[in-house]
Amino acid sequence: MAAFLEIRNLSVSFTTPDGIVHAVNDIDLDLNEREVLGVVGESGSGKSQFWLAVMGLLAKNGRAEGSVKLEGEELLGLSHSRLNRLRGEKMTMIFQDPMTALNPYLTIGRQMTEVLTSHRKIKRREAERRAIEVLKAVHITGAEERLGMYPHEFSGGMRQRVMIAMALLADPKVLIADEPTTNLDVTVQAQILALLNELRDQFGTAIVFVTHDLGVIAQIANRVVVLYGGRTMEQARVKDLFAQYRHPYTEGLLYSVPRLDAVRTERLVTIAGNPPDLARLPPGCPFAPRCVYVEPRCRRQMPPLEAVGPDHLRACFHAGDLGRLQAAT
Amino acid sequence: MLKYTLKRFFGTIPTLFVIITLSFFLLHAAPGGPFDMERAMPPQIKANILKMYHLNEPVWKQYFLYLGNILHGNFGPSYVYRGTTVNDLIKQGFPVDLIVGGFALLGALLIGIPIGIIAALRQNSPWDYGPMAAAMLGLSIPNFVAAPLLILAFAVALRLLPAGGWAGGSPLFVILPAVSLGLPLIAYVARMMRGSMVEVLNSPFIRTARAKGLPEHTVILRHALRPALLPMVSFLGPAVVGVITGSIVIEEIFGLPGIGRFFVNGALNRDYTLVMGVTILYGMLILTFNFIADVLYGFLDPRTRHQ
Repeated sequence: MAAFLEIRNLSVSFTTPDGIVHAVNDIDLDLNEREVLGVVGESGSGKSQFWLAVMGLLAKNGRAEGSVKLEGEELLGLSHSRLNRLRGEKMTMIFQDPMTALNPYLTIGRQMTEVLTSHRKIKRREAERRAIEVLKAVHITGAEERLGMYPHEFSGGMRQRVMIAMALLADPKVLIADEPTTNLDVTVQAQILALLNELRDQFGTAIVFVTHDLGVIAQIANRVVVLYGGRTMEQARVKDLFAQYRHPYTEGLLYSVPRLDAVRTERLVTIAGNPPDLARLPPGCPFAPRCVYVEPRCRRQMPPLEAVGPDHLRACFHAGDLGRLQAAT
Repeated sequence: MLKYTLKRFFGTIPTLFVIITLSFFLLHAAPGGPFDMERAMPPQIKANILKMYHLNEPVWKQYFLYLGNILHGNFGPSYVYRGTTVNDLIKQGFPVDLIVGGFALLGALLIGIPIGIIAALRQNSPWDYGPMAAAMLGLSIPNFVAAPLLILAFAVALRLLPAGGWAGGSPLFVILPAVSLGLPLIAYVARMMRGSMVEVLNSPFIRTARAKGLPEHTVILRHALRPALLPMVSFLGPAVVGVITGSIVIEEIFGLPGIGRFFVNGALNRDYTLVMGVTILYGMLILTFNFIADVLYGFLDPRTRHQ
């Protein structure tokens, strides 16, 4: 499996009245064809901004540095027209809130077919036929009539299906899904996850799944990247991450997930402290102020990302075993 | 859509009725009457005059009499402008206001909207700061200052345009009044358009449109323009009010034969029928434009249409 998306030293910063905010700091990442990559982190971890930067969708005060190569072509600094050709056609992104992510003033049909008509020399009729096909693939019944309807005539789950269908219309190589199930209820969330899994097999699209929910990652991803303070903490195959996590932050995340099979303790374990202030990041590891394994050098120097097993990377100085959180429960 | 339109239309009728009733009783509650002069007239004569205009009847009776008249489109005789009916005065004066106000509003929309859009697209650049600073200035200068300045420049110094008068509405005489009335309006429209466009451009569905790889002009024209214009449509009703109330001052400065002066004089003289006529006309105008705005809104926003 060759990496068709190669991201090197990607940093994202924003100029704000409070100073420069470093949302993403020097992250490397590869994405392989047909894989489902989970990207986990809490609010402010930089997980969304990282992918917005890859898509060239940063807010106006945002700046991306480093290198993003899609099939060998550098995306950062690419002309608008070339970038627009790649967006939609090669890579596409869907967002958290399906209520607001669709244009309320245009019919679903219009919003779907324009993806094709703006990229290819294709007749409206033909584009509509294709739109109906993809709507069927995301299990929307009565697709023909639905084309003439407006977003407010759909439920939340249906809208997210429409978003997914719209994203897959032009057969992109990668679909970046930024918290696509966060605002949906659990049943609908499960349906959407099942759908994404199904579509990956059917369309052969690689999926990047950005979420704060490890439970979702366990259900869908092949590989996981854990981000904190705009840096990679740990990166592993999904089963390795859950079975043999090697980073204190991952441990914190895992133990803060409520479990039905564990012995009931009085309180859910939480990670003490608050997410870092990205305008005033400490010089060393961003997690150091909250880490129970912290060593003096953690506060001076960012630990390098190093291999700790096959396809398993982590950025941490701590040499001994983890498990203090387990002992605490 | 038809049902929605009809519903909106019939919704305006009770409002108009309330306007008529309230202004009728408020007007009659004000002390004094149309024939109270500084020099008392002989009681016999006064009684005769009052009887002629039914002013000796109880107010509620006058009210129903008046209501009956206006249902037939008859606003009654003016008490002060003897020998003319209110209908005549309106027919004479209203076209003047309509022409001046119409051009001012049309110009403000045609100029203000593009300026606002450009400022929003070039946010925080000279294309934004320049026009917005000018707009602030335009808003802060009242039209009783702007109008004389314009007269000084274009009529007195350059001798390009007449300083006042109407001449039956020949185009040269319309320009200066319409410009003075429209200037603050351009500023207002431009600022409002910029604001709503900036807001729409930051909304999630615009990000989706960009993520789809649509070219920028499609994103702006197809996805952003319509929602950004919606506040402008709601503004249409109040804008008409602004143009008309603003026109009273403009009429005075340029000596236009509009109805603004009838309104002011009528109120001072307790010319009941004239004031009522002009009030109802203004009320109807505002309701009509709000109705048009509502229908346009429904046409532009599918969510309103379906409710």
